[in-house]
Amino acid sequence: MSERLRDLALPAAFAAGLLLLWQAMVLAFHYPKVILPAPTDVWLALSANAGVIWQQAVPTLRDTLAGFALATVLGIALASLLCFSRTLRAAVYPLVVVIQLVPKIAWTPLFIVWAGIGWPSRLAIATFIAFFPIFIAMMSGLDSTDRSLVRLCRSMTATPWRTFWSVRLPASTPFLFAGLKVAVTLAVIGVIVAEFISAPEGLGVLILKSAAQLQTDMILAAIAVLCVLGLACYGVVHLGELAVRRWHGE
Amino acid sequence: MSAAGAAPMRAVVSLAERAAARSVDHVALDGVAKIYNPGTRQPVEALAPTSFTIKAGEFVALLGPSGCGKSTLLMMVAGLEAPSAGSIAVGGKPMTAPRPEIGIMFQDPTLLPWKSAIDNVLFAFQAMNRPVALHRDRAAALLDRVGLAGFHDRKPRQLSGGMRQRVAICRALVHEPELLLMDEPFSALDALSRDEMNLVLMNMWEGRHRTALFVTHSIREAVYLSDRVLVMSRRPGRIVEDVRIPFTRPRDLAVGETVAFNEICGHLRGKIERMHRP
Repeated sequence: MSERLRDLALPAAFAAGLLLLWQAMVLAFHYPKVILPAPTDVWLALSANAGVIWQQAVPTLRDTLAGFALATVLGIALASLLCFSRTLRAAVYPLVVVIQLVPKIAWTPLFIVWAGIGWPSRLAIATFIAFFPIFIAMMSGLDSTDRSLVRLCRSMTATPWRTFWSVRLPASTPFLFAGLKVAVTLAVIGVIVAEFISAPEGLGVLILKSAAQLQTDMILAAIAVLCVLGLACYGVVHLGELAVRRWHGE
Repeated sequence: MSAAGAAPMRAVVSLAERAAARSVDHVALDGVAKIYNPGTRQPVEALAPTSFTIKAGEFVALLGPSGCGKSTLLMMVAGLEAPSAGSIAVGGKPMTAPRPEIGIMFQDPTLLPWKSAIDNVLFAFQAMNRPVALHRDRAAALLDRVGLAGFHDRKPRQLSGGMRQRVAICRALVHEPELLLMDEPFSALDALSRDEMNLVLMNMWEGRHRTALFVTHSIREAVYLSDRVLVMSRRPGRIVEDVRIPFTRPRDLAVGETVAFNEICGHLRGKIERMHRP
């Protein structure tokens, strides 16, 4: 078996095995459907309510992508700004690091208070949670730019802006993508938490409503769709990372 | 070498060029010293007060053991480090910051990994905020000349160590600098690639005589390449010997087999060994 095939086939077989075990246990021990529906029940709920679930998935996906995009812009912008001013960096960087040590989920009710119960608060929460890994990754990327490259720029009379744009920024892209991968999964978490607290629609809302009506199969169906959405977002970022690595000649 | 046919004519031109240029001091160091961590409990005197001049068009090698301050000296001439004492003038003007009329090669090729070979060469213009597209042909011609035809679009990671250093030579020369500074550029290469790179460098340099300062710890390399070899002592470095190398140009590697060449090398080796005796 080739290595590539093995890397795909083994995890797939393991996951299928777990699903089979789950199915077998439900059949053998007759758990009530409210406690643990069988995978086939979840599939039935999913196919029967595909329209509703998709309808709810769209706002969740939209807010996730918007929050992720905004966090990316802000993270890169702040890290770049701090790269230019030592004073600003000394003042701001430690504070940002401390804030990011606080569990960020704990802040979410504050955003509802400040931004209301509409999409702005959901966007703000997703952005807030996704911002930190991007910012930190970008900072370490800019910091770890090869010193000899910076010296080369200086020897060729490059301006700080030119050095930043042509060397530091491209040199930090592999670091940035490591942060983006973490951030995109966090953005999904942020949106779901925001929807749990207050939202008219979304997969988070669907999960809460289904829980209230003891529709466990619907909860699991919604979670399955969330998994697929999360994986798709992660996959896109991963493809971007591969492209950047190829660009760097790896 | 393909350039052999044109060699005699080039020699005439360059001799005239050099005769005219000889009268001018291109680089002048006056009492230049470097002390790291001054005013602390452990100041390190890297370079004792040093004075010498380099004529326009002259190729000078700075030969010395590792850590003798020769690289520090080169960085100060490049304007990348400030001397602790003394003054450096390049082209008659005091050296305070890097200048575009200087080309520099470091110990590592220092190429941008995401740029192709030709774009790395053209980066010299990009860094100086000069239009890049205008000079693409010249960059391509330079790469061909150092034997990288067919490798223009390769990224650094797809090139060997010697090939990367060839790209770095082209980048240092593409903007036609008047002064070429080289900090042990071939020290990371194996002996064979090193001989080859010396040939490539000679071929490039003899085409148009720029002033050159070349830092090395290889005696043979210094003698092969230079018009003059300055020998430096251990830290704190100072210049203990100034030897003129008489061989005509263009030189090929065969000059290294001659008696005269080996006598000079022996003399320099003796100097360095005497200096190192406790």
